[in-house]
Amino acid sequence: VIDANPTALHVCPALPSQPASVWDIRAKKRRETRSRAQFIDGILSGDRAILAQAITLIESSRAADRELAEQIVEVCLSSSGPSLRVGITGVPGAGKSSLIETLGRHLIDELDQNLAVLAIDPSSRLSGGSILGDKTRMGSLASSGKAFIRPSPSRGSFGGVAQHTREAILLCEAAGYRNILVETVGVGQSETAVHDMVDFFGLVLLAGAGDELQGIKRGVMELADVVVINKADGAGLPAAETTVAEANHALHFFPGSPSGWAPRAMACSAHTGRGIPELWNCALEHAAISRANGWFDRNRCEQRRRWLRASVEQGLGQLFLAHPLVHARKEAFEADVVAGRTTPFRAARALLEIYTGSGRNR
Amino acid sequence: VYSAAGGDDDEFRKAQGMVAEFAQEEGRPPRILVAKMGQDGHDRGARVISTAFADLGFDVDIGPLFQTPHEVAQFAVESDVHIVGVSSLAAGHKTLVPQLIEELRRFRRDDILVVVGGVIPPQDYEFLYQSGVAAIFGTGTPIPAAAQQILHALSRSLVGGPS
Repeated sequence: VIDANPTALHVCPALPSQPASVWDIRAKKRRETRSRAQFIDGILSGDRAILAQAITLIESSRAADRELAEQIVEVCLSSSGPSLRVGITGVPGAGKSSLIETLGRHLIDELDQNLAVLAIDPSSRLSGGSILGDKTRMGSLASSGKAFIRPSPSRGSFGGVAQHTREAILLCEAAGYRNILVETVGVGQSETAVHDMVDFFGLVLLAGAGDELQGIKRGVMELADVVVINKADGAGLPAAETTVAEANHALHFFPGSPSGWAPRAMACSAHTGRGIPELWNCALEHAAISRANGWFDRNRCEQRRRWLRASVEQGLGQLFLAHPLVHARKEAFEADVVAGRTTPFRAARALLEIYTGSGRNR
Repeated sequence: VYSAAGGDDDEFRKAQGMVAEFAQEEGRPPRILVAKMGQDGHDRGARVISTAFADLGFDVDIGPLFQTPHEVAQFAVESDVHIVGVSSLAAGHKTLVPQLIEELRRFRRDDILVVVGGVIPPQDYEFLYQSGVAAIFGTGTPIPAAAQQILHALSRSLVGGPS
């Protein structure tokens, strides 16, 4: 099969068929199925590989994995220690990943703490696939023994990952990580979803994005505990400082937060490390204030309530789609809507009546 | 992005179908880490492969440049990928790839398949297979064909798959 001129510097296709024995050797190495106890022991002892596999399990769309996943999360819920959960969002290219890299190094090198990073990247609606590139920018953090970084695809439009991110946070906490950083996809509705999962919420912006500050980002901005103007280095420094002043000005107009915290804007550079210790101190100060006035715990309780509601909503959606009568008639209604014979609104109401009507008859 | 340039539409669609089937059974799409190790900064190939696999429906983790085998293994383990695809264009494969497989074993995740692509002299194929590499894709391998081969190997190593 190997040609007479053994060089790789010309087109050298793969062997037309791999030797069967090679596949068989690999095929024998079937993945171990882990038991509930193995998962739990592994997570609690901080085993990286098992924590990673447990996150896969909770993200799995396979119904059979669901129950085991729930049992594991339940145990982790009660055994997670004190932690600080920080959400990082911002426009694409604002430097969220690089900021986390520098912040993470600060945590590990200066403060001798560990951290888990949950980074969410968008999935393609067309192919279902995804490119998970966040961790590429966290090279030195990725190789650290004190950081666990898990990129996850956003998968689907039901906000499914939002729910699983919450569970992943709990697993990381149970594995002993004291600082949890959640990095969202660029812009979108997911920002507010992540706000429901964290104690401290940072918005990363770039200098010269003044229009966005005043306009579309307002919805996110009023949730932000800190607004970070990144890339405050080199020639960008003066512009960043101007933007910080503008953002601080804008933040004054928002009503006071129930946490007793006054949101602020600050200039940072993931590249030079400028402002990074201050950023983390900001998160610590926020935690200290809100712990002292009780908001920290109240917020986490409130988040659990919203988690329950979100889970019910998601479950309802799944029950609806799995309903046999709905399933049987959905396509006919869809065809009617497509052909313009009925309105989407009327078709939706008819389908919902089928669902609730038969529910009552049972 | 590169699906338009693929040309071989039937093979591409067949591979997409296999990916969808795999995702159904496994509860998630196949996940691959495209890794670059050692003093090898030629990442154009890795990017072409990454986008093509994402177009096929894979979840693709892109590793940083200049990684050590240990770093790649840790990355693969944390992301819980099914496959590590090593892109090698600077002749480091004979030392780095066996080291990677050893590091995966140390994490007790040697069930993660390792495949190698790029510039690999044919006389090294046997050595790499002996080291535990599941497949080698030299220059000129059509991407859908490579994906199909990987999925074949993978579906046989899955829980509940036919033995």
